[in-house]
Amino acid sequence: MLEVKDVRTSFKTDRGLVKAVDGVSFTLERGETLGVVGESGCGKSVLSKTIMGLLPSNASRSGSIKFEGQEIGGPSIKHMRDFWGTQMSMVFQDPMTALNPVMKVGKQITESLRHHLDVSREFANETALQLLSSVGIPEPERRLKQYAFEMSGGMRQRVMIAIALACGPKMLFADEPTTALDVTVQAQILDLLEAQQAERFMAMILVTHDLGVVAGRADNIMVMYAGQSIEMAPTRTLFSQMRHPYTEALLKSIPKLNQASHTRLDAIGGRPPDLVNPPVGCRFAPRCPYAQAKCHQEAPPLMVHDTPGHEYACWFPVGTPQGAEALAKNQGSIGTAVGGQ
Amino acid sequence: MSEVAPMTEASPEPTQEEEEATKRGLGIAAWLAIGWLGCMVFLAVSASFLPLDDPINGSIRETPGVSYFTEGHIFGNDLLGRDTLARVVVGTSTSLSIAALSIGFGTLIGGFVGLVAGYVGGRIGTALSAMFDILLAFPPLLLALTLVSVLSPVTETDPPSRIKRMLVVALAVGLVSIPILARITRANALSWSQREFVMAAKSQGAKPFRIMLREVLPNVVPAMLSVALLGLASVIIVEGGLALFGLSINPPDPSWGNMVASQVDDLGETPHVWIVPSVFIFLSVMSLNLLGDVVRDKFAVREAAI
Amino acid sequence: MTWLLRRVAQLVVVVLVVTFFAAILTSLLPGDPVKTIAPFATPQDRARISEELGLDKNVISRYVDWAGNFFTGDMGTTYAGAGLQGDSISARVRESLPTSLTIVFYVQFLTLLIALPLGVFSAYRQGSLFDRGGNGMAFALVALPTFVLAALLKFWLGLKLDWFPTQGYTKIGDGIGNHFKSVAMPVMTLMVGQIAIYSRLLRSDMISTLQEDYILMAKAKGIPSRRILWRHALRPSSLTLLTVAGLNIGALVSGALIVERIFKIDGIGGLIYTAVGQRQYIAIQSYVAVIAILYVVINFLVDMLYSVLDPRIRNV
Repeated sequence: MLEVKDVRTSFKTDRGLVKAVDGVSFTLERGETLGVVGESGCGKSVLSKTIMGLLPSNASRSGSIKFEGQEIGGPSIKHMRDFWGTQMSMVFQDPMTALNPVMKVGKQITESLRHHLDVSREFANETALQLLSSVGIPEPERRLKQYAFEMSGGMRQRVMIAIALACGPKMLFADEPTTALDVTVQAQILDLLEAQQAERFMAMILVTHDLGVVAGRADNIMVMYAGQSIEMAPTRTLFSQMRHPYTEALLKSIPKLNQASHTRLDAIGGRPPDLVNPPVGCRFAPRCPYAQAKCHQEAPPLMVHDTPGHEYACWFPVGTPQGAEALAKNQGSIGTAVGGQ
Repeated sequence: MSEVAPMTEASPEPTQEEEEATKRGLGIAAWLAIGWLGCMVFLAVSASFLPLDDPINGSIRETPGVSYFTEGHIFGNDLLGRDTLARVVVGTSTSLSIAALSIGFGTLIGGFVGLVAGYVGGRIGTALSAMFDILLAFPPLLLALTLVSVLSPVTETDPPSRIKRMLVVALAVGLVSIPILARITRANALSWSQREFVMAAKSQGAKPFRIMLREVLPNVVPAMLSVALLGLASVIIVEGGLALFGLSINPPDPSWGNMVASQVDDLGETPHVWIVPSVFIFLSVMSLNLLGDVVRDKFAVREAAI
Repeated sequence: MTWLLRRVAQLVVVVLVVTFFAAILTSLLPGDPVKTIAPFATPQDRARISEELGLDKNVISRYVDWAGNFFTGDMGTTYAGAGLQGDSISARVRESLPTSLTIVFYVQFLTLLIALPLGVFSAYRQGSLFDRGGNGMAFALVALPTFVLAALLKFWLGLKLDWFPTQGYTKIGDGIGNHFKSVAMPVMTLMVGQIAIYSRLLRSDMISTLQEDYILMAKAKGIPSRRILWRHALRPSSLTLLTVAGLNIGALVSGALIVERIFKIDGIGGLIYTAVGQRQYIAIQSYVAVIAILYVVINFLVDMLYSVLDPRIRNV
């Protein structure tokens, strides 16, 4: 249903052209969930805004985005407006800032219904009530007349999901939907998203920095680093045989239940590269414990190696003889990994 | 908003303000403004030395009411045969003196009170700032009008001299400016007083007065300067307003405001007599506003809330 | 509701304090106030004035007496010369206040009518020729003092083109056409600066609002730009505008004094002009009090409006 090919997005700034998304391709079918994972600033949010066509005016993009076989996000904004809400919609990261503070939430839900579906006020209100109860909000009649600031964080995020679902979109972007929420409600919101996605048979792109969030929920996972997709695989495959050192590092930075308490988490040392002048070779090389001379000179291509459907871009992949050798070499010669710790 | 916003991540979109602030050197407009104000100050200072006609008494030999670019009168003269150039130059010295005196006075008192209110804070600070608010509840021109008329009542004796009259006007307008300057100083002093270096000075046992003068004041100066520049512009305008009500300096002594006010009921007779000082007022106010903005942007003075 | 009560209580206190300041103005007069107020009065007149002013009592009880009279509508009489009965100040105020309020109302109404679309549009087309042109023009217009602009309009539209009468005020009852003609130039004079201030202010607030997530969210819902601007962005952007509008009332009142003087309109400004010329201190005192109260009350109303526009405030 969604076909993204070699999409690049850059922003004009005073420092130069920031290449926020740099050649990303994937496909997504109805009823599927794609998890997009990476650190903040890796371009994952820009990617979803690019596909939605919600970029600011100083951005430019190239590549092809096809939605149901039709090229979208062209020059005409009017054209995109017909897609927004009815074909694809978005759940934003922070429900506090993404809900209008001075507009009743009911109005924010019915507004798009009335605009897109041209229904009567009564019908829109009725639909809004149903939506609110379907996203698990008690006393929906009362909530309709409230403002965002009168609700808890989890409640607001439920409202935002209701708004996003109002016009029955075929595709839903969830951009870090739980980052701004309390840990206790994060799982509830994710379960709600998953349930709605299954019920409405939508395609969903779940953007997060937390591998744990997508673990049980996504069909496929794409790991992004510095604007590029560096490893992509079905969820099971990715967790059982991850190949890219960055994916491994991400996983190591998540606490696990079966670890002894007070186990130190491995943070990824260093910082993501400057997106105005990215490194020539592999972009993760400066922080990678496996990095060899080759990594700094030549960028590895993203391709399928052994398992079908599992793409990654690395010269010395984790869990392979080459990788083990590279790691041993680095640890032996310098003591600490290059740029690591 | 925090005081220091560390730029950890390069945000893809620089905000409009950032863009403007980095682009702006001291643009050509600012230099023009400085140039114009420089000329004005020169005229004001040297008014009594320049070879000008008598600004008060017209000469009987002149044809009265001639317009611009007449021989001997580049800006023409009025119906009493008084040279407009001479009057506007002397008017410059009057208007600028009133502006400088009143804002100097207002900055000194308002700055001090604001500094104390901001630094000491607590109940004193609240009481002082409540007082500013009450004084600000009077429209400035109205307050100035009332103060001048109260401070210089008609008496049977001779009208006061030009200098004395100027001082009265400056005092009244200065009083009006105190709460404005005090409020902005207080707001800035308040935010600076909570900074680490002030805490550090305190913890080393520095006396409050010393901290106020050595640590807080220098940081508040840009904000005060910016407001003072805008204040000078306002005083020039207020002086004109006072003149309309016959409460600036006494005619026939010229000030910019007086020259416009004296013609306001008869604008068609000799338009150059009021248009010339109007242009002087307009350019000076615009220059001062511009420089006030430049100072504010340069030092990133925040329109301190609170 | 307690919030409203608290605000009303605040209002009352501020009104009292402000009128107190206005009322003790006469005490600031140098020398013997009575002699200054009525230089050539007979001894009987002096005794009467002294008693009216309560000069023998302390400041507080003097204010209490004054306020008692003032708030029941008795503002005393003007001093008319030896042995003569002066005019009622209250009557004068009743006569002229509506004129001033009418002008100020027209100014505010037309200013908003013009400044809102200007501000919204220049924010939407930020950096365009229209926007930058507007910026420059606003900067120049703010620097044009009211009395200079009034003089220019009176000279050009009044004397040269003879479109509008150069002085006087026609009541709306005495002919609508003439009424609007008589207020045209005063209203135009005051509008220009206000429009410049409001539209630029709204523009900058609007620009920051347009970068908010909820605007992007509204866009992602597929709402058309026009509706986003007017229904989603305008209301949160208008809060600063409102605050400044409240503070700006002071400047507007000052401006009204000036245009009433220049266009010879018998509003409060005209009254003050006459009173200052004749040194009618008792009258000035009352006029100042009336204007200050108006100013405070309008600011209070602005605060109320603020809470209507921003639901968050009601619950603080």
